[in-house]
Amino acid sequence: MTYHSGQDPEESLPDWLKALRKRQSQEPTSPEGEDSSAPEPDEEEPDWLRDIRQRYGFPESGPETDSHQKPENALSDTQPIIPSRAVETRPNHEREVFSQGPMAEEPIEDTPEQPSQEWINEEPAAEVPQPESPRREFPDWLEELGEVEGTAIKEDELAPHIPAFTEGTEPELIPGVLPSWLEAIRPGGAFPQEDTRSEEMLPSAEKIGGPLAGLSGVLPAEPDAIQSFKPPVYSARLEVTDSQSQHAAAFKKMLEEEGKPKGDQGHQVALPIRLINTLIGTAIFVAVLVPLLSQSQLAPRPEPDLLPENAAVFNRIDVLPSEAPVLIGLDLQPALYGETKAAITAVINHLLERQARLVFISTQPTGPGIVERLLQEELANQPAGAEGNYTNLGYLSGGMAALRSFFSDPRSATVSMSALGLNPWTSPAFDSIDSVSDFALVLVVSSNADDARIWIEQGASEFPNGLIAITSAQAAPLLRPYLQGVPQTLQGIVSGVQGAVLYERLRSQEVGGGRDLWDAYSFGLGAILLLILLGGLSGRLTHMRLERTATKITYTEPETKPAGDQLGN
Amino acid sequence: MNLRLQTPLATAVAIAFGFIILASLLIPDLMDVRNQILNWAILLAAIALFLGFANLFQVHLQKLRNKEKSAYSSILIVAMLVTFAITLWEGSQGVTAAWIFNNIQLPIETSLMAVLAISLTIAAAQILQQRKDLMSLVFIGTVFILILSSGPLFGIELPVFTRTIGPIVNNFLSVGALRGLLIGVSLGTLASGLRILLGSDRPYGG
Repeated sequence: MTYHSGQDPEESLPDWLKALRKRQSQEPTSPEGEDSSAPEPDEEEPDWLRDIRQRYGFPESGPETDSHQKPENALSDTQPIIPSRAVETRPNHEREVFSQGPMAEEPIEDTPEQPSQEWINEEPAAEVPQPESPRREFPDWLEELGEVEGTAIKEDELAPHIPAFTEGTEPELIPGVLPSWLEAIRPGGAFPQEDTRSEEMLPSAEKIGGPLAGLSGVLPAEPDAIQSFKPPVYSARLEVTDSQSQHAAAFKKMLEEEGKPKGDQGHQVALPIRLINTLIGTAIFVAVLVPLLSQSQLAPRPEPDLLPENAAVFNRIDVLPSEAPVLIGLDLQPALYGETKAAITAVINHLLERQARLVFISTQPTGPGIVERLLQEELANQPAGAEGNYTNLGYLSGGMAALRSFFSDPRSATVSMSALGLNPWTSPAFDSIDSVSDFALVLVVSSNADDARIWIEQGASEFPNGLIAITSAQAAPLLRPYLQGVPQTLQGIVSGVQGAVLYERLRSQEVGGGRDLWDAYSFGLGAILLLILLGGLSGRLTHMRLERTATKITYTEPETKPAGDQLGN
Repeated sequence: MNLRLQTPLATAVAIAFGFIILASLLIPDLMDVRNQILNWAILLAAIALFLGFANLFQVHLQKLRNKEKSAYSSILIVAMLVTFAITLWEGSQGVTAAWIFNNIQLPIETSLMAVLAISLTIAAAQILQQRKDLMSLVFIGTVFILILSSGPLFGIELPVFTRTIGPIVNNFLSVGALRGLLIGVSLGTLASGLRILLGSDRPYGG
């Protein structure tokens, strides 16, 4: 069946569709109508929907709600689908032209669905008289429907008189009851007996989520897979518990306190202990001071065979030729200068008597100062010391690496004297020295065993004439393994006051720095030993007295307990 | 742009220079390269010393700002700056610098060492009151033997200790223990060197 031009397609609609269109026309479609007929949320919204809204944080619906947040029309899904692209992209005047004139003359080449959508959508056009209507093709089912009802009336005749919808003439659709025309076209027995709806469409299926949660028989709005929802927001902040926060704070406090220097925390000591400490200090002070002031020489000097390493040093220096270059590494700390001074003075006196050319270097920042003090004050009686016939290279920074560099190439090493712009190697006396092996003898003066050990380990192979050490008494035992090793990397040691006294004796000196200190050293050692002995005995007696008192208390406890029990009873 | 090249770059530099120094001990032709590298190390050590001075100055300046023991800090800062300026002007062997060293630094450090001797004596005298166990007795016995063998006491020599027991302790017991200690130190040094060369230990903070 075909329609002639000018025929109103609305007339060919079935009755049920007309009734449905009528209901739709009664629904408010304009924004004004929506606003005016929008129910008050407080009155119309059920409690369960309000609860859901509050639970999920949706805003309250109301008149001030934006248009895109307004609820959809309940019957909007019965409206023909309007191609949004064609409606929105065309300007208004073009839309008017499209609906009235020029499009009527053009042949319609749309798909069969499109013409029906257009004429359904053109509701206002039914009231406006149109001179010509284009010949349109309708779907087959609609054409067949027109034939069954026999309403093939020419559009030109009825268009001005028959409205698109008749109001109040058609009975309203009753839910669950098929209209007569639909009943007539219904194929008999063709429907399956069982319910072909999906499980979620069945009345027994309850809506699980969303605003319709808890309702049964509700069509799902859309599959879960394509449901769009706001993605969850994950916080970038670290979630920690209170316990973890406390531990972190304690750890942070501990680290901060670790970096802070410890304060001077003076604590009060009990008076008897303070008295005892003062007495011990005074006793040692007196024991050392009295021999020094009296210049007594009561203590016998040690025999030469007691310390053979001293004799080895003496023999090696005693055979040095005149003007022999001797390298002295002075790695001495000022705190131990007093103890080591006697031994250094004795050995350097011997070297100067042999007219050796001394070259000093130090890996300690205070070393050059000690060298100057030693030569200017202690060895002022020697011509070389008084006239300054020695070379003080100064401070060599860098520790072990610097020593290694100096041993490899002493002229290129950066020492403090060369850093000041002076070149110590310009003296004619050093023309023959290109490496440390050219020195006739190498001495290391050290108060610390580790410093001397670096000299031995890094330079022993570089010194063909041997290495000897002058150390404090505390460093000597640690260097003794090098002295007794094979091959012998250390040829001799002079250590402490005892070594100085013995060296002076080897040189047949009756007076010297070592001898002056020897009595004080002897009396001081005696006083220290006596104080340790007395302190130990005193402590032991105190403990014995406390233990005896504790034993008495333990012994008398069984007698007192029954008395307490009696009182308690 | 924050490129985290610090760790691999520092490790690569450390390993490369370690191998160069190690190879220079075996290959004499590399001696000049080794000396050049060691001279760089010397300069860096001197700069590190100066940085230590600057850090100490900064710490006490901060204390001065916070009014935290400001008297000590102010004295220290003034002394530090004066000594630094004098030494910079005269050199480390100048007259004023030598006077400061001989009359301030040397007596103070020597006095502290003397106080340490007295403190150790007090501690040794009280050790049997604090701890009454076998090791305390061994420690006290060793101290007695070494003091007695160090020389004459109150002018009286005890040959049993100075000529018999003392040399035995010094030449056998002490040397034996110290050789074991030195072997342990050498093995530890060797292991540390290998770990640095292999990059598994990075003491330079890479």
